[in-house]
Amino acid sequence: MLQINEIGAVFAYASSPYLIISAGAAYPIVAANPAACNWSNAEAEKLIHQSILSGPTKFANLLGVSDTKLTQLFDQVLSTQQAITMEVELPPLSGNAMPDNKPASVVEIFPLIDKGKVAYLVLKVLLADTTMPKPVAAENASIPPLETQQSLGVIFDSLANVIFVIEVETNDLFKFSFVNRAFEVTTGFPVNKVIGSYVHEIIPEPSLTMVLEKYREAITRRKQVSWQEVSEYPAGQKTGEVLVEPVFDAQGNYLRLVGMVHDITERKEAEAKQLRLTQDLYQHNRDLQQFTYIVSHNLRAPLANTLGLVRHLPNISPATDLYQQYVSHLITSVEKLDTILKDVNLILSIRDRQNIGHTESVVLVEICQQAKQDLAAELTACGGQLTIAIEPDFIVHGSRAYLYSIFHNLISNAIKYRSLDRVLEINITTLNSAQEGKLIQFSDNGLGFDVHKYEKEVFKLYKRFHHNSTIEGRGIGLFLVKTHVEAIGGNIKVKSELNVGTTFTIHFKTRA
Amino acid sequence: MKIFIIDDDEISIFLTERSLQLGGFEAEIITFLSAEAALEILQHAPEEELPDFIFLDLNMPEVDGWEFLEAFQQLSGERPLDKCLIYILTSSLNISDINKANEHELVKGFIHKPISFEDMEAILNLN
Repeated sequence: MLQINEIGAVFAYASSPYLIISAGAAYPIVAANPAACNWSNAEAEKLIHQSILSGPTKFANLLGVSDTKLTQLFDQVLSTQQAITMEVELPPLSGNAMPDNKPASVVEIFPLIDKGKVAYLVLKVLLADTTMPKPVAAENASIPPLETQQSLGVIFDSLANVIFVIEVETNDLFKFSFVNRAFEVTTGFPVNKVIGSYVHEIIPEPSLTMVLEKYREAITRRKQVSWQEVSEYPAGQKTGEVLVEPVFDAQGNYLRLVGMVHDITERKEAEAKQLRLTQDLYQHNRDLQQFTYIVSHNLRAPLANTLGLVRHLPNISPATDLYQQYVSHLITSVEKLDTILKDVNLILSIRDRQNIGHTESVVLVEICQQAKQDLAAELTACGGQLTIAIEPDFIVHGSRAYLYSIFHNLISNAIKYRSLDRVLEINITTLNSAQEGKLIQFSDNGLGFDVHKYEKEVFKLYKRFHHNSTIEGRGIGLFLVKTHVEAIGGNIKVKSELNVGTTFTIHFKTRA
Repeated sequence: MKIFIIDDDEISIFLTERSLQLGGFEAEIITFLSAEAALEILQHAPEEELPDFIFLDLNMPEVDGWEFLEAFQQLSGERPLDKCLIYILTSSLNISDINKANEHELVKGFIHKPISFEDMEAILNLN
């Protein structure tokens, strides 16, 4: 028969109070699960060995029955070897974590039979606030007698946690001798297929290697071992907290392993989702902070110039060339301020619309052709070649205006930063990626930039990497490209080599 | 007296140059639109061509103000640059820029643009 610590261990996670009582005189308690300790407001060490009838914890009072009644019930189970289920009215409790007892709670007393005699009694309390089936009949409802293994099976199947018992044939051969119904629900393996199978036939790698190692550890250390594992089962990917307890006989010989799994898949999934959301929010927050910083910094520069010029102006005589110079610088500075404010407005309006679902199915190649056509004059002027190799069935769900802006900006950037040593070549192609599906690649053979130095800066607002005053620009193009790509749910990456060229890889959401 | 102004903003250079002239710096002012151009001179010019003051902007493309300071430090091993006093002159209001500048051993002072008469008076009195 199973050892008491095995039986006790499987009740550990049960939310209802369970007490295991020796069938001997005075009915001493041999095991109590945490729910039982919580219910009776006593620590497990104090409960064990005390008599359920006459110990300091008055269980009869807790159950709302008299001592005599409780003794009678035990005697009845002992003599009939049949389980009893009865409704009780628990008195209100004070000073423990359980809610006040509402109407009928249910007490069940099971016999655990060994060699034809009752060895232990299991007392289970279904508290009224937990969902529970109504007892079949009011008092003294009888259940046909069950042999220990069978009755335990019934109890185990009623638990939501996975329970399994493993026999060890040799050091490395572990065989399932029992699993409960929760095992089937959690893993998707039918109970009758698992019982009698070896562990290595059921548990997939990479979990298997770890699991076997933990089994051996439990055996050699003669102690309970617990761990967390993620496994792929027919029922899907599951995350569980596993606890394995080795069981020994009276002589200390090793007998078997009893294990429990607490399925925490949903909790883990919720945690992962929360983490993703937090990271997203964090990133957005960072972006906003940076945006504020950049805008204030870039507003400050023309403003400082304006301020300085205006301070000098009263002391300069109006009819001079110098005065004209001041005025022209003033106009330039104020116009710059205006441009920056317009940029801010544009960027904020894109961000504003980011979450508004105005999307349409756009044939990407048409957008690229349109941008190419609109920049034809600039391309011809520098003798550049633009090749578009995108299948007509490449559809992107997003805003047509944003997609146009993305390619218009990328092409004009490529023209702007072309190398004067070679003829400009731009290629827009598709690329298949295992993780992200179809990608768009936009590459040129232009000036390029030092990607190690500027990788983090390249998409930032008002950043420029070419100190060449003949190239016009204020460092907003790539920032807008990135903002537009992100606004339609995509992402963009860049690779570049100085004097070789630049390649942008864009991942668009291809489904709405 | 020789003064270098390093700034990628032409209007800011114009303004700083005018301010220094009006503020009592009787100096030859040489202006650079990039830090590289200034480093080139610092590396190769004869000793008498080296400046007494450098007004350095922080936010510039390619080599920015901080990178200029690094290069300057390296150069000072081989060039007599001890007499060049570096002032940061920037439109940045960023506290971390201010703290970083104040902790930098090469930086003599931190000035917010536009440079004022008080700023210039302080520099002249101090040196």
